[in-house]
Amino acid sequence: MLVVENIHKSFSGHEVLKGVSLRVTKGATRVILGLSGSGKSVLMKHMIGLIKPDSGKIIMDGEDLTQLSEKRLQEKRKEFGMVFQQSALFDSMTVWENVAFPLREHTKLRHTEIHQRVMEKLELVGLEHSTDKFPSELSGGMRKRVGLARAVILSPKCIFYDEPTTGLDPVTTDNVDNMILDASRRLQVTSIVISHDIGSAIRVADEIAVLHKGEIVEDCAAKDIRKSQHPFVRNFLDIWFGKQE
Amino acid sequence: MLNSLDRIGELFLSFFEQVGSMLFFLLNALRQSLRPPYRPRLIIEHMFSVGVGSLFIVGLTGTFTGAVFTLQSIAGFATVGMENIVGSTVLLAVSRELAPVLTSLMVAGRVGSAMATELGTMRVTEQIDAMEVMGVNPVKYLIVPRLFAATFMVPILTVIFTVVAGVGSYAIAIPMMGLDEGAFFARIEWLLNPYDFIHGLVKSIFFGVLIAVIGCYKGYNAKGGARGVGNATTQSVVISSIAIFVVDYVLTSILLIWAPS
Repeated sequence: MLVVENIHKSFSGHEVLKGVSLRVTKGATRVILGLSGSGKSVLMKHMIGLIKPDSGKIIMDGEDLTQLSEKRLQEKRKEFGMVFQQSALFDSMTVWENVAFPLREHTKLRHTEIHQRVMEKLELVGLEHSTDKFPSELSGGMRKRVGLARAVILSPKCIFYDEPTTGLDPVTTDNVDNMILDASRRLQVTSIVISHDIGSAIRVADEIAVLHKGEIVEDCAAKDIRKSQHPFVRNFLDIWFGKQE
Repeated sequence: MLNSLDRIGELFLSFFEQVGSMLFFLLNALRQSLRPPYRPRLIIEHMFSVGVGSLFIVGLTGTFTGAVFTLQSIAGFATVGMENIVGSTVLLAVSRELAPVLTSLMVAGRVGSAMATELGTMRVTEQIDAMEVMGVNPVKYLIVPRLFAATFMVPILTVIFTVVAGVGSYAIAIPMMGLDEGAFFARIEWLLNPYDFIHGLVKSIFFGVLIAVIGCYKGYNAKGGARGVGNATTQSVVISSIAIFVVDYVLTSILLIWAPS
């Protein structure tokens, strides 16, 4: 469904992505693991069409995103939803207005229909009683949930999660993991999660790719990640699971 | 020596690069403004914020500018016995120069800085990225309404400035300094013509565009967290203020060519 083919990208002479190739199966949850500075966020911004690569292709449903006009790309982006690391909710709007924003911009639905859909999505994330609150009045976990409600309001084919558990306490991390699993199961969407949280990754992923210094060094089913023999992945796993014991 | 020349060369290049980028930014906004949806509600909201929000500060500045200028002029003209042309002198200076320039400086400080801060915060907290991911063109949604609001409201505020400066001048000249009311108004009618007001209005339209473009450009391209937003805000006010003075000189030179003799 979403295919990344040999992507290269440099910023000011520094090569951030060195020929990354990746295939995301329709309906699966794909986690891209990596340390800070490994190029995960840059890769994700390519996949969503926010950055154009120096070379390579991003193919979604047969269309190369790198070759689309700005207008067509904007149309295409309606098929994506994204939950940002800091939620990126519009701070001048209430929870209700944030979730309704894509509907108001892209549909001609009446207010009652918009309200019905917004409440449906807010119920999905358990925030139906916080409609009039502003983002500044919400906790980090609640903001993430509003971000998810907004991301799925146009019924996208694919949801991106940028570091969804970074900076959250273990209980909230668990809630966010459940939220990703729940959204994936109930909405039947493809999910792409960018993270360095290996515990969370193993919990939510069907497939895991490990990005290190701009290259994919491991790409396997989530259940097989612990069998990886790549030195960086082994070290990553040993540090993580050593910590857990 | 070579290093100093390099540095001067870099500064020039950076200046022209910034001016070029701002020009492209403006052209992109104008191009986007022609495409539907037009979002009149957003434009009205921003017009309210730019116009009504600046009324008090512009009114206060206008009143005192008119009053102080009148006091100084009376003191000066009294030495040659020409106090009666005080009203016309003040209004001529206000309508052509002081109203557009001072109004724009006030708006640059209040509105231009707010535009830079708001958009800068949206940029560093990924709200602009979020808009783009949702398939909404951020230039169209965020920049176009602000550009229209400033372009329409700065001239209106300039007219208000001129009127209240006239009132301030009258209040000092007639009741306080005891000048002859008839002569005060007769001289205004004799010396001023509609072109003087058009002169100021044309300038204020350009200044409105400048304030919006500089404030929005700096905020839209802010990076580096809270410090980046702070820098964007400061730069927007400083650059807008300098640009207003430079463009004022250029426009005055051009407009004086068409001034009726």
